[in-house]
Amino acid sequence: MSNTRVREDEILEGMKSHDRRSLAKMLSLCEKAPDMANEILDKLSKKTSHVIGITGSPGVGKSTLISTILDKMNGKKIGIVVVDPSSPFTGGALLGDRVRMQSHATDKNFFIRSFANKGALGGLSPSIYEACDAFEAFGMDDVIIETVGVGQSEVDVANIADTVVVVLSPDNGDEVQMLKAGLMEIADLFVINKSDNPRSQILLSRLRAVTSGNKEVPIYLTNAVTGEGVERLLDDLDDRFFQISSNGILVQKRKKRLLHHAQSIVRREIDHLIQNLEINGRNLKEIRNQLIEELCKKDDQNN
Amino acid sequence: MNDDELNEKYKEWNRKTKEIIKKYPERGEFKTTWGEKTKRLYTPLDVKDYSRIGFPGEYPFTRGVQPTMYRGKLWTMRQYAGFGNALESNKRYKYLLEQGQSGLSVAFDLPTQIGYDSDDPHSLGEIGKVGVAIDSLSDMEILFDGIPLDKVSTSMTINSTASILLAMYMVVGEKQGVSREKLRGTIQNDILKEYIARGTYIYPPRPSMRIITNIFEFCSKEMPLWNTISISGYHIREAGADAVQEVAFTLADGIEYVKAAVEAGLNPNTFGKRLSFFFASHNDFFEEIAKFRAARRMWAKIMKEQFGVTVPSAMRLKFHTQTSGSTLTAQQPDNNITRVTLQALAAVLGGTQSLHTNSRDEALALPTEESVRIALRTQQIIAYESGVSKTVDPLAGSYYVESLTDSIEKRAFDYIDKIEKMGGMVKAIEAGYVQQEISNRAYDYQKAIESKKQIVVGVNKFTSEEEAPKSTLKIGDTAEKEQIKKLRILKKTRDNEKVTNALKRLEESAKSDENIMYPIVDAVKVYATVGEISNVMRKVFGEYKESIML
Amino acid sequence: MIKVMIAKPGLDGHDRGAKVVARALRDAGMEVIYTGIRQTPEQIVQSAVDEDVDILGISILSGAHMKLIPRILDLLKSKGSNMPVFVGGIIPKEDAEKLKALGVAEVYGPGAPTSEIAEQVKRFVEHSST
Repeated sequence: MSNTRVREDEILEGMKSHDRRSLAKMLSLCEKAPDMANEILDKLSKKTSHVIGITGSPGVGKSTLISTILDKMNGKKIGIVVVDPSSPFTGGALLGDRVRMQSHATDKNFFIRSFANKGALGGLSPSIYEACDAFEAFGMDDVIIETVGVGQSEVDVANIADTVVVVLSPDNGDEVQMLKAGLMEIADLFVINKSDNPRSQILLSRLRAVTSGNKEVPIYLTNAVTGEGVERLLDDLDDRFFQISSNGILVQKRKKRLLHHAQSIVRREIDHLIQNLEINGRNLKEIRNQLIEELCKKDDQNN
Repeated sequence: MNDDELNEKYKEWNRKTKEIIKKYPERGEFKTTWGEKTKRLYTPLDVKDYSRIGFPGEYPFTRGVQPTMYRGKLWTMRQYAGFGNALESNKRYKYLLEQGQSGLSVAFDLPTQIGYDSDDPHSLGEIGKVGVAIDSLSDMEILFDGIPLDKVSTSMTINSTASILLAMYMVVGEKQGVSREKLRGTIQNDILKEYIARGTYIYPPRPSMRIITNIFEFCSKEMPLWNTISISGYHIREAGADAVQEVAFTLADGIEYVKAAVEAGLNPNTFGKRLSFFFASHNDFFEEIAKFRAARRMWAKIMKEQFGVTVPSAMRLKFHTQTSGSTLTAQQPDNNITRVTLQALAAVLGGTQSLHTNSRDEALALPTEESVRIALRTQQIIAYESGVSKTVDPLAGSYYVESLTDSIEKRAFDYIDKIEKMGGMVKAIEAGYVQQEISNRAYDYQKAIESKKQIVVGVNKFTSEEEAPKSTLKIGDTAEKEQIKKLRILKKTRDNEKVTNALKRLEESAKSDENIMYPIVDAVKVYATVGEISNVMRKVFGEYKESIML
Repeated sequence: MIKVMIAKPGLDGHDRGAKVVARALRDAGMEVIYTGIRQTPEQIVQSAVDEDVDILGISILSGAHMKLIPRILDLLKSKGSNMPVFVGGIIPKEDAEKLKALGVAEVYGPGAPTSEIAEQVKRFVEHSST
């Protein structure tokens, strides 16, 4: 135990001195021992980074868009969190989104970290809040979170992000119809990736038709290969952050994030309690197995 | 016996056999490599329509692309070689030609294939490793020194930098006094399979397709005897695809190229003659033979029906075969000679136009000269001793082989339809579909080996403790240092003003919709390097980022 | 939970082995990061350290292993990392021995069973964390 205490101190000091390796260890702590991570994070001052959630169905080019964004970033410090799903059967995961950003792996200003969602409710990593705090404590200007892109993760990113970017691809023809109700509501801006595709204009007009009447959501056309349209997107993202910082929206967002962070801690505690629960000397797993067995028996008798 | 009688007889035989099986069960289930059930017995009932088979040299070419096949001319024995620097490779080529090899096959090192000069940081450790290092025309002059380019046909395994290497070959030929229209050979030039399986891409698919069509166009005017593309299933297969996928994805690539050529204004009736293919030959003997026959029939149908080709010779699928590298084992490496023999035999019975036989030690390192010789002798034994070359397509009419041929054709066309529905091969690659299908099959195969459903002799059965042989070929570091030194001297001594101007012209051409082959030829002539030329195009076209499908 | 990175240095595009191993390790319950092909030693090492993986697997078939793998090992050391490293590919025996002497945990040739690789990876990680 004393051993980990030393490591914690080292991480704390390293985080203060912006040591990259300490951030790497800090993020591991967020995953493996979130309580300990929160303890350290409480002792660190945090920068208010612009937390940008990037969401959209798999294959729309989220990672490629992020890579293009990084191409255009000059001197800004960016933390990138990419979340991939864990297998519900083995717990294993293939964290593959990083590949498209590998050309930025050695850039001193960028720090890319892959997370498995570990089957978390909402599809984001259970330690996403801690990870986000860690990047802020490290002094990142922006923190970009890329979601898995399926199910709840698309919507839940709004619980943590200051700005939600919904990425659409003209290749997915029925994208607009498929836009889930929740997704429409959380989008702060839309990006149509692959602007060189002739269908992107069709998608654009359809999207305009759907969004008009609701809140005004700006739509951007980008080309991840040539980088076209990305600079305008970045400028507007910065403008937006400045705006929400001054008009009180950011404060609301941060309150919401804190609330969800607290909820996630409570949920973790409850999970922990359930896992360790014993009824008549038997733990949850044993009880579950017995239940399954009895249900199967009943099935057999019925047949 | 008519079909009804036969059917009755067959049923009766099955009944009796099933009784016997109750007492003496069979060894297990039998399936094709793509998972179809293999019957106990094939009969004429499995091959109803003999008209599908046809005659050799005639549509649909199931039985071969020429009427006399190996009775007229044996296949070309072509061993892929090249390593270290141009001088060493030149010696190896001369040796192979003396040994009775009939054509050259040039292997380039990876920096040359990916458009990096030898002094580029990306080239660290790679120079001269898997092939010869070519930085500029000066290396190419040494590579073919003393080899009369009007006498040999040369096959070059080069794709994203094919335009540059082809230009160099042409210029070397002209310096030897051989005019461009007399040069014979093939460039691989098949970029689509690089995204799918082989990995030596540079630019994104669309500009790459433009370069390829520029090459097609250039050759149709300037180098009419040159085969402008070798549409390759080999690497797709080696990446883990099964026989059906190999045929399907290769022909789907072919369709994409023909579409591009037609769009560029080329006539498929003439252009079709300049296409060639490249397949792997794997372990399952009859499947492989059937695969080659099916591919030939399918391509003829595609050219005729989809592209409206009327000239029969433009419907012919001519192909090179290489025995499968991935089936070679590091354990008990001499067993590989037997594997190679069976695979080579399948390729010959499948009607290949040229053949490379792998060397026994390729799972360990680059092959030694002795191993390369055994591999070549294997082909010669098949050609001159086995007697299989005495008649055309000897396995036609085999109920099993014909049934497999039909089955591969049907399944491969299903895949091709699916890809067409996705919008063609470029789209299917961009979506990662093809990569995913192959990756799934590769993983299934690995699991089959580990569960011993698939036996690999010497690996998961009949293993023995033995020392791996030490005498493998090593490429020293001196080649690397010398190559870099040579390049540096070249960059100092050439006329750099001319180089700058040529590269500027190339950049303008790349940005426009001109044929970029002409400015590439000009750049090559003034000794601009592979890296310099590629970098100009990188600037204009961008670089491809792979989509990972696991 | 073991976190492993499978990296492909050098210019060769033969990623069948790397992908099969990545999948097998995932199915053995590990979190696997695959870098894709053509990675420089610098990219690989920085990624492995940033991701704080427990172990690094390197796949190479181009023949450049004796240049690239020692460089990766040196870079890891210079970043203060002692994560175990294993290698797969066509590596002649004498080179494999040299690499092991430099600190590579194991060298796997073609045909190495993935189940064995997964078992050994677990052991290397346990061993390195004690």
